[in-house]
Amino acid sequence: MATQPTFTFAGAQRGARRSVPLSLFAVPFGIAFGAAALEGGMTPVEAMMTSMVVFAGASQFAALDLWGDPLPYLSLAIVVFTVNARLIMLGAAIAPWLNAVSPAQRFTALAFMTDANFADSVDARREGENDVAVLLGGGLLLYTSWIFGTAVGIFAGAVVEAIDTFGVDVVMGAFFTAVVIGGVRSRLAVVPVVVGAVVAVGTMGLLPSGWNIIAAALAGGASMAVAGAKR
Amino acid sequence: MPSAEAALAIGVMGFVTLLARVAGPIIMRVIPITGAVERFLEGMALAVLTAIAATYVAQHGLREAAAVALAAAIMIATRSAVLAMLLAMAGAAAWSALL
Repeated sequence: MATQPTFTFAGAQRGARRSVPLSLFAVPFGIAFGAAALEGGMTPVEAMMTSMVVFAGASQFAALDLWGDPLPYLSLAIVVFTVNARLIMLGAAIAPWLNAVSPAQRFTALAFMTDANFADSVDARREGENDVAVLLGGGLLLYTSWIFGTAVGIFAGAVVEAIDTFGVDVVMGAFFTAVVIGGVRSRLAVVPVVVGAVVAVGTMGLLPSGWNIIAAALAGGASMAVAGAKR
Repeated sequence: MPSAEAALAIGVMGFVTLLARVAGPIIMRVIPITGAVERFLEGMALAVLTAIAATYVAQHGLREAAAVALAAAIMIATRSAVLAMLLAMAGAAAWSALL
């Protein structure tokens, strides 16, 4: 990066603006969680608190399988950490950018990091964006959508069935694919994409939930480092 | 208000998630950024997103695979991620309505 990364209010606003389409699509996922949480035995307040405190969809769904009486704290911690361990890889991938701002700014942005605003910030950096608050702005908007969706799911869970009809369920998969394709700007960049896909699918049934993503991330990173060194 | 047990469980889940969110940059502070490390991080960013999309396709059916393929084709043709998302969504909606 040619200039020192910044962390400004204007950057957060740009991040929020960039994430408007994504945040709209995050609402149905929140609705699905709100409805599933009640079915899984959570009270409405517990479901809302979970979305507000955890803010990580896949792991929240996974936790519902364990929610009961008595609550298995250790199992919940392990399952949630396992499903969310890929966030370590996301943070590491943009670490040179994040580590250039103050610890408080870094911590604030990371607290709201999800797959979606990580992908968007990768895209934004590629376009020349140098403000770390872009990650925070996108995260805050996604957080708001997630909370709003959870509340709707709690009080009007029946709308969940309509989600698939409108195709909203495919949006995240489509967005990640689009960001990957936008990021392939050289032959070398094809290597981690192919390796990542093969390792993720190949290890899917062999590793605990979510760990195939970590294996794919490490293999993809290593493949690009090695392939680049040979050139 | 939730019970003390439920509040504790939610707190535990929130804490381990926050740990995963902040750990990456902390780990990378002790690793010097060389050319190889820079390529590793760039490759990892692409691989992790590819892995999430590939896992999604592998865990779902033809409808979702077709939608993702459509998004890929539109992204290649237009370089617009938003357009790719919208048309993939429209394609999946049409699939649900017609098939």
